[in-house]
Amino acid sequence: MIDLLLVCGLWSLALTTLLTPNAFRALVFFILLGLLLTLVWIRLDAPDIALAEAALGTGITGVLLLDTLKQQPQHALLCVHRTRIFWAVFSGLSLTLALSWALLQAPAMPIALDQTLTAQLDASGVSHPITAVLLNFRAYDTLLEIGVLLLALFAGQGLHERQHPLEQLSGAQLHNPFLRASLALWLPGMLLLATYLLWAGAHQPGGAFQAGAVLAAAFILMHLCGLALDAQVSQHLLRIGVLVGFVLFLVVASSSMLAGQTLLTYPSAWAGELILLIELALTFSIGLILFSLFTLNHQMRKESA
Amino acid sequence: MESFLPTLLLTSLQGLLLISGGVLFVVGSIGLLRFPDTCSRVHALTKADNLGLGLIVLGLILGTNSLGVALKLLLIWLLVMFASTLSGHLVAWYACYHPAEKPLPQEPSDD
Amino acid sequence: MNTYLIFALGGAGLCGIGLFGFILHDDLLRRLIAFNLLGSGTFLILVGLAQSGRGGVDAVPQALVLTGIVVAVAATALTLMLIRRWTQLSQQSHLTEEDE
Repeated sequence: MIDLLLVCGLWSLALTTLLTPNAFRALVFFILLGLLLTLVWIRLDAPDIALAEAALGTGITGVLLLDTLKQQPQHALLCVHRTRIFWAVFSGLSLTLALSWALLQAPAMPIALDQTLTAQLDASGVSHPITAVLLNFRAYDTLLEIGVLLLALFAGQGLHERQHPLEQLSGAQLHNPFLRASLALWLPGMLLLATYLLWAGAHQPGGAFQAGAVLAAAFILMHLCGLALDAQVSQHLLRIGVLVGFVLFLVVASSSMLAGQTLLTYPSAWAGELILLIELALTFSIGLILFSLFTLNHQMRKESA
Repeated sequence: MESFLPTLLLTSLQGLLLISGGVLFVVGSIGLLRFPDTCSRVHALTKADNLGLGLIVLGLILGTNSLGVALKLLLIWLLVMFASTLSGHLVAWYACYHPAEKPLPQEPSDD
Repeated sequence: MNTYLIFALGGAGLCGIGLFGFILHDDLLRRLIAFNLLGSGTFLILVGLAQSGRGGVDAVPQALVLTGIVVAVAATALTLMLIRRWTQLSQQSHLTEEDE
């Protein structure tokens, strides 16, 4: 019952997001949809994804979208052609029907990856299966993922016309004394939460991505408040921090090749410690990359203004 | 029979707290939809929802047996109160200082 | 009809809605939102289908989706930068069509 209600809520929120004439309202409904999706992930017994969805899919994406919306020119209400409505409804419906048919026809799964995972879990160095998959068995994915994040950042930097980030990094936006005071009060709490999420990832839901997202949120709030380090220091820290996750991961991954093993084989004695070290660097890098993506976006508005 | 009455009392008290908390959330949402301007909307939302959340947390605490879960629920309550205070303040502050660009534009009347 | 399958079907609906919005709208920001909906639907299908076949929690697709969410956020951020740049250069919030 509750599942059906959640699915109906998802669909109606998605349709409202797409059909409401006001762009700001559409974004608010999109953020609401993210929160509802978080509940759905909890119902699907996936607390890790729920954490990531709440922090990344809803929080960071919402901030980025809202920040972009302020820069967009105000445009008229939706004007769509009749033929296009027809094609949109037709293809949407047929995709849904085809997917549903495929889902109901789903064949039995011949390969039991989950049993292999449970059998091999002791060798991975961590006791939480998702962290084991992300950082040991399928560490290749995670290595490439941090590479994709870096690529997005570099591409974003390439899109800039003029580059003078030194003075722009300390641009205060919200001169609100209450926000500043409470941020000073809660920043240690946010850092503590990020560290806890990172530490908890070894044996329960949590891990580098969620911790990185919390870290990025803390950085973004600091940036919006105008709390900043000295520009020179923060510039160097940013450059090093953005790269450290990928580089450390790559070094650890390829060091096993020196010993004649394949890429990404950890020595089983220190697998847990190595994973924690990589996760620490990843958290720091993910936090800084997401923060840089936000500031890059933010600066573009300033240039156009 | 000895333990029946306290259990019933506890369950009904819990139900009462949870239901009244839910009702307060509904009232807050009605206020959000019906009030005319940003400040009164924020007022309706923060006031009613904080009380509603408090009641729900109280009801849930009655249902748990472990101290750890109860403390976690209290922590959630405190954090949400803090967050809603801050966000409510920020929305109202923004609305006061930027009257030209309203955060919630007028919707079409036939909606 | 278990919980997992219900949400997999819900994901299928979300995919359809995403595609619908993607075709319907000209506005680039809305197209991006529609594309994100499509992505979320795909994630739901992935986890829901795997777990309904398994009859329990399956960590492998969950880990894949976790990676996918992070990549989706990075892609969204990059797309937003492209949209901003396009808006700066052309003063339009939608792409110009060839045949207009």
